[in-house]
Amino acid sequence: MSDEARQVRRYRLLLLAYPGRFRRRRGTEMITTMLELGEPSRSDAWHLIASGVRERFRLPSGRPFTVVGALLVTLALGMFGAAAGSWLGSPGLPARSEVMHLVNPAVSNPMASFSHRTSWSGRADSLNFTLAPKAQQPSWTVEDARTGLIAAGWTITEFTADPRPASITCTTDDICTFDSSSATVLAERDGLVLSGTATDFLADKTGTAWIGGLTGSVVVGRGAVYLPLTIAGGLLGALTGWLLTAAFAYRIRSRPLAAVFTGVAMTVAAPPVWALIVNAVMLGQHLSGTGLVYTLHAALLPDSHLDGVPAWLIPACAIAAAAIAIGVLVLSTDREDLPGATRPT
Amino acid sequence: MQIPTLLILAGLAEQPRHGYGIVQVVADLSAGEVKLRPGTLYGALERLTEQGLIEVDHEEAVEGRLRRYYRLTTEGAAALGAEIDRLQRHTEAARKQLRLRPAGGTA
Repeated sequence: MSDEARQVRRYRLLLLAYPGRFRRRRGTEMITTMLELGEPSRSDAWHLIASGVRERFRLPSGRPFTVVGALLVTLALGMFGAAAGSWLGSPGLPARSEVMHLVNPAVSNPMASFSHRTSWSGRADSLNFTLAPKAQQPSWTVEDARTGLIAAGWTITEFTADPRPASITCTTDDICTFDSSSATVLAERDGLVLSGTATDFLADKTGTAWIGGLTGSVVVGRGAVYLPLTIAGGLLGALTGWLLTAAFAYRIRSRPLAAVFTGVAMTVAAPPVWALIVNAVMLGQHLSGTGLVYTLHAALLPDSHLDGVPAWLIPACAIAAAAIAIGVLVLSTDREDLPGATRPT
Repeated sequence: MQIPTLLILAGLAEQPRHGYGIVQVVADLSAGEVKLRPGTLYGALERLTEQGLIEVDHEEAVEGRLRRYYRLTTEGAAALGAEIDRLQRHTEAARKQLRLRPAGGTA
């Protein structure tokens, strides 16, 4: 291989830093100029790479709407990227039987362990449960729930007894309301978060009793990787959004149909992006709190947490926007040449 | 407008030039002060073409290598003139301020 051929090969490698559109339009003449300039220094090579990367981020000149579009696409893909990171960082809730196996020891000899799984838009999936002793245990108190959970390996992070005295209020129709002593219980084990209310056994003179027990929910808590993955996903999505806009802004300017579909995709994406932003605010407000566990990606689930929004709207818009965006990418894949240039003969 | 961009436009005012020719004329115009690297040159050429300030004049192949010549457009000449006027005004205003400097300077 001759020196010149080796140099051309090196320049072609360096030019890979530039977007394909730029290389196709200017790559050959750049190589000619670089050959005429002589062997580039290491600093020149790095400068060329930096210039190429900068070109990838550059939007077409003199088109303010493109800047607005780029900011919106960056925001939208940033939010979807953060949602993807949130999904990756959120292990699923274990099977119901597995969770109840961990919770049942809160009540010795439980009579019923009613449970059902709930998916809330915006929040982590939870398993709601109610535990009660099988037979009346007059000595049963909220302390038994705490002892049982600790014995089963749970770490109690909060146990707050309600100072109100227990009471039984009966109406003239002999309908009685049992207001038993209670305690708020928060506990953690192996990444699971239990939040619930324990109540004492309470009986009146006739033997009618509130049997007591523990009721609450179990969710998968945010692990150490949740926030880093969510933030990384958001940054990666935003970066992709800007780079895609910079790349496709040149292509769609000569394709009105692609430009129209880009606008449609952005409009359709607005509801899910807004739902994600609202959920990000909720997540931020509950980061250090206990109880509710917000997960960003759950904002895309049906039955939105946004007021007055039909259950199907958010997931349907997210899917439709993704489909239209893919269509725009397909519509814009052709190449273009520098207008007005004539080919060398 | 940045100085390299101004000098590129100025370098194309007299006649169409190709990439290496632009590097040379810019070095001449700036008395060697501005040495255009390919990354700077072609980034500027891309922007200036998009803005309609320069355009491709013609292309030729020399020893199998593509050379593309650029020329200044009417809009480019107007932009260059406006930028020269602006710099001139600033330069004259700065010069006037320098003349007002007290003799001997400040302590």
